[in-house]
Amino acid sequence: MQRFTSTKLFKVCLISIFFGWLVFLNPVGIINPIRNIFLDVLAPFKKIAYTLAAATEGVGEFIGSVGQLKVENMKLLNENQRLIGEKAMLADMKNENDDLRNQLNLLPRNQFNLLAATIISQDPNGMGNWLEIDKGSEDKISEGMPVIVAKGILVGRISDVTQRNSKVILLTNPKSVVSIATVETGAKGIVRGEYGLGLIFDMILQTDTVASGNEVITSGIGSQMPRGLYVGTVQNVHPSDDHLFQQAVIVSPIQISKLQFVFVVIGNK
Amino acid sequence: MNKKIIYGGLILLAIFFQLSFLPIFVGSKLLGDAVLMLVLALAVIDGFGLTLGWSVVAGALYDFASYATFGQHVIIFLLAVYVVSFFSRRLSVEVRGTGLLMFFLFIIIVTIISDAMLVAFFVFGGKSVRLFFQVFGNFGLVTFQVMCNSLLFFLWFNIIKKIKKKFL
Repeated sequence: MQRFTSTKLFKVCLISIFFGWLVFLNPVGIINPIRNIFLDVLAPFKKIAYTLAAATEGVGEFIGSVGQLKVENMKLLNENQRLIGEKAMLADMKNENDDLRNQLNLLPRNQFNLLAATIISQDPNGMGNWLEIDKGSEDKISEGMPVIVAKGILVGRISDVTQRNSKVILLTNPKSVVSIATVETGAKGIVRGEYGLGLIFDMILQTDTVASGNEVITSGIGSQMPRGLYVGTVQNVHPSDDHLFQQAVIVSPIQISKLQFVFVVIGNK
Repeated sequence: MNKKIIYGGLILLAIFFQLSFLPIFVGSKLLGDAVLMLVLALAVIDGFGLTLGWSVVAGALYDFASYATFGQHVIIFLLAVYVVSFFSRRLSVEVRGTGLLMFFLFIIIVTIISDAMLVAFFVFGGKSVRLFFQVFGNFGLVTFQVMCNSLLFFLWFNIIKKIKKKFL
């Protein structure tokens, strides 16, 4: 009879226990330096693969799709994003003229120092939780910096930084919490991710007014997140489970899988 | 030596494909897992003994590249290799046509194991299992994932077969 210690099951169990122990301990102090070197080495190849995918993306979609409609849809999507961003910006600028808002030092968008970055990889589980960009600490990027797309639409914030790359935690990531407010009523709260499912506008006071269609921007309270970055539009409002606050679902105009470039807000001008 | 370079290159290629190509090319919420299917194809072709080490290497590199907790994909890939070994010994692949069915069986089992393990790591990380099932618990999406994985498996299977014929 075969000894148990020489069976396949024993080998698999032994190795699994060892790596399970590593998962449990998660020794980032040891793992991260190795990971950072590996990520820096891989970055150029990832960039090539991502660029290639962007170039052939049309082919992939054409196979299962709708040809001409796709181009039109893309144009409309881009136009929609641009208009939504502009609309929010205009509404926000109007509010900037308001005395009360001036007291809160609303940042004008032309005061941001932006650094353009190319996306080189995304969350492999398809949950839209993170993406990786080709700029790192040598480009003066640091943890917590906001990441936007054109017209000031917030994508997420920097979480891990290596010498040449950075990981961006998207708004849809459950670890992401950003202070926000509605443009129309100034109702404040936080936006948190729902595992790639969407965005939840949480901790809204019962006394505040939030309605479907309200536009939401960052409130600039806490962290490195400046005020006035567009987050999305309120879709529906409901009471929280404990009925102490209101909650709302926010729809973001961004399709993460379509993004190729983002901008990191590295400071104010 | 030749084999090490080729297999190492294939693993890296699969990682680039998974992280940097598929998300933008397919643009779908749920994608196939190119690295998992490469390991599965290697296990089907080379067997348990020769693939065990490669599954550990592939899992470790994938964990590094995907910012995942180190070790989680190693465990998933190990289980995938073991599943192939377990069923290969018990079911016949000699009868014409059953080989293909076996491959589909492997793909379905391995896809489900991978999702189940990801749920386990998700819950272990203090996150809600309810939300995870909202994403992965949809039968249609899991079926789509199996279909994507089938395509990826046969792609890798043919590539490895051709490489082995020409270079190894």
